[in-house]
Amino acid sequence: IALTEIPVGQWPNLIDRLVANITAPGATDMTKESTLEAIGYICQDIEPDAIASQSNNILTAIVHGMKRDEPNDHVRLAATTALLNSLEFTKQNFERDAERHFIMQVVCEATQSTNTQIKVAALQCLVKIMSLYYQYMEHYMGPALFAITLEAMKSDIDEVALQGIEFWSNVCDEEVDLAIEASEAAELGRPPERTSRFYAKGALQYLVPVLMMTLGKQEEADDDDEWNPCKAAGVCVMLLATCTEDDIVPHVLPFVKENIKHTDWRLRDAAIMAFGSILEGPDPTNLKPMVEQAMPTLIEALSDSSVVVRDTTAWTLGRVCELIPDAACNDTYLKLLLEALVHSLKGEPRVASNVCWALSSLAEAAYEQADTGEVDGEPPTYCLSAFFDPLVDVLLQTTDRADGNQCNLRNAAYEALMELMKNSPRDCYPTVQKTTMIILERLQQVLHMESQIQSHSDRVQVNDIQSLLCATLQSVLRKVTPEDAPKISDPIMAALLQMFQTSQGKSGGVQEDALLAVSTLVEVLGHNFLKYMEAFKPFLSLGLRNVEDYPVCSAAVGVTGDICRALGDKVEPFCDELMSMLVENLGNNNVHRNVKPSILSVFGDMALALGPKFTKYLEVVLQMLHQASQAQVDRSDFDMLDYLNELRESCLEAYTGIVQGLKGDGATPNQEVQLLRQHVPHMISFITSVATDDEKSDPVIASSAGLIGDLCSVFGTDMLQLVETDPITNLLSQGRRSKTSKTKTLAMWATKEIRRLKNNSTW
Amino acid sequence: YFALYKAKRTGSSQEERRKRVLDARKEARYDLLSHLRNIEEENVGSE
Repeated sequence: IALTEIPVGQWPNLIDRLVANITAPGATDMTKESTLEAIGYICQDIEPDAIASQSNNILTAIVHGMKRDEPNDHVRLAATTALLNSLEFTKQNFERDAERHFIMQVVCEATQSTNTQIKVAALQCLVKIMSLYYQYMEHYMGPALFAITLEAMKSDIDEVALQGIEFWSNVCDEEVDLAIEASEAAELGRPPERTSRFYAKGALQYLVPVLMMTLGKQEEADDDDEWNPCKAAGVCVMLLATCTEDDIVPHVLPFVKENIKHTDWRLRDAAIMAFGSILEGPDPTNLKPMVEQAMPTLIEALSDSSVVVRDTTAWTLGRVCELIPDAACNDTYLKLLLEALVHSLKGEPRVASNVCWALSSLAEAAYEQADTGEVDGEPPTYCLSAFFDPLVDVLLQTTDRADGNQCNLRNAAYEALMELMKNSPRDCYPTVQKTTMIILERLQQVLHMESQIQSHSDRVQVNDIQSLLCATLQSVLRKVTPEDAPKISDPIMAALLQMFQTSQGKSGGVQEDALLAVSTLVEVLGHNFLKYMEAFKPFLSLGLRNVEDYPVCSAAVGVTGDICRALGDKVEPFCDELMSMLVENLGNNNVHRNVKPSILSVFGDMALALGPKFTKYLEVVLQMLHQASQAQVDRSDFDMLDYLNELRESCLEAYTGIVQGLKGDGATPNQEVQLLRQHVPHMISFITSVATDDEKSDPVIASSAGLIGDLCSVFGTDMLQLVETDPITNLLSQGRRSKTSKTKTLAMWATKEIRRLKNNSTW
Repeated sequence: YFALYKAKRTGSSQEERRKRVLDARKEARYDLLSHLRNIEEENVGSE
């Protein structure tokens, strides 16, 4: 009731009444406990602003219940829990020294309680206080917090140890954020608002030994879903490495060296986990020799007698391949490593899943490392070329494993396959071709299985496989040459159409992936896609009308744009129907807002495709763009600001497509472009409002510059008085300074177009 | 923090695939418009 009434100004005396319940001399323990629980529940769920003005009263009640001399543990626990829930709106109290000292004293005392629940709740308060009020903690860190949390980390009680570790994980998170703030401030040439006190760096020598000890406390039966101090310690070491960078290495390395070959599997595992955890943060150049030195031991550990050690080793090698790839992609270790990884791929699903990830990272690193020989081209070969075909083979086998549903193995194997396809050089093309046909075969097989589906779990499994096959199809198609694409497109399109046909019961994910596969096929086939249009049209319409599942609708909108770009004016016979559905979706409140910017962009694609024939849609489309370009959002909501930028970018893309489409690509602009003349002032006023928006994104600047240039090239010197304004001049100058080359290019081009008009007008 | 334990970065999730197609689409639009506008990055960039 309080959650409903307090935010609208009702029940104003509630908090006073609750406080009186606790502070009244004759209050019973039961009343105090219940009241504190009620306060805790209210604080947990209420909007902080609605109750911030009552924070003094609430704190008075809570602190009264938390004090060391409170004899009843139930009361003290309820009070401590209530404090945990109220910390977010006690900012003003934390700003005042005396009040903060008092709160911190009470919390620190509660961490010393012999009652585990109270101790844990008080430690949770410290964890949260550290996140919320880092800048006030200096006074307490040395004399109290450091000792309290280090002691907690050493505790035999898991819940207590977890809070101790979490405290330091939080410190790392906070200090990483502060480091980012500091570098951003330095870039802007101003001092940062808050500064790091580098607690994590200072505490390394004390924290690392405790964390290493905790890493060695693995459970015998390792349960994936259980969170325990050992796992928390692994994460904390990772966060410490990100936060303290090179400084952590000398603290961890002695433990690794001492234990990596220990007779106790727990210590071997702890050593490898510690090693894997510090690979991100320190300078990779400094880490490289150390990792190279460890490679033989790690490769050997992939065959360890303990499955936990094999799992951790596979994960660590995955990190090596991702973060220090040069230590793996070299003549000394690559062959040995690949042999060991392929062997482990046949091991337990948890190990194999990590191996798949390592192979994905390796493929990406190898491709990046390869010499392209020519700018932006595909490299002729790379270090994985000799192993590529057998690797693909073994991954395909892995996707077929009966236990592939465990530990996400099937997904991981398909993802590795996709990464290998994506990152394949020219000499691996025969394997890409072969894989395309295998995937197609599998797609056909799985479509035959449709009739045999009996249970919900069968359905889920078939859905997953279909989705993965469509996704793999996308990655192979992207590699297929324009000459080969038409040779294989018939059976591929037939399989995709069959998938759409039997879409009953299929998840949106499958349909989305199938539509994305069509998008890729359109891209590689270009105008050759025309022959599939009649057959595909009904399914495209179904996708566009799938309002309930917006990613499907969005994918269908995207395919529509792709088809327009691929078919050019040959898309005309389909446009009336497509346009009507797009316009309907734009005006439909049930269509998810994220779909709408894509629809606007497709208007631009269609205008470019149809050229002057687009005029029949001009009025309705311009009206929609007029409306969309005036949209405003709640500026305190970052997601909405992102959305606004996306919407504006799409409006600009649509205007650009229309201007370019109506103008045509001949030497003289088509007459139809003059139909836009009366809309030019609105376009310029839209660009001006974008230009004066401090939150505009870089792509919005780029698209604005593009449209300015287009308008100048079409409407000539008449444009000068419209574009020679401060906001537009500033926008173009901002664009020319952009770090993105496209934005820079467009802003320079637009500037050049304006300069050309000025020169013409002078003459 | 649970999600960070032995976390793996994946480049081929559905989210990633969606993003890849969107990026390819943006790239295709940009290339087409650059062709129509007769701009090449190097030419304009070098001025």
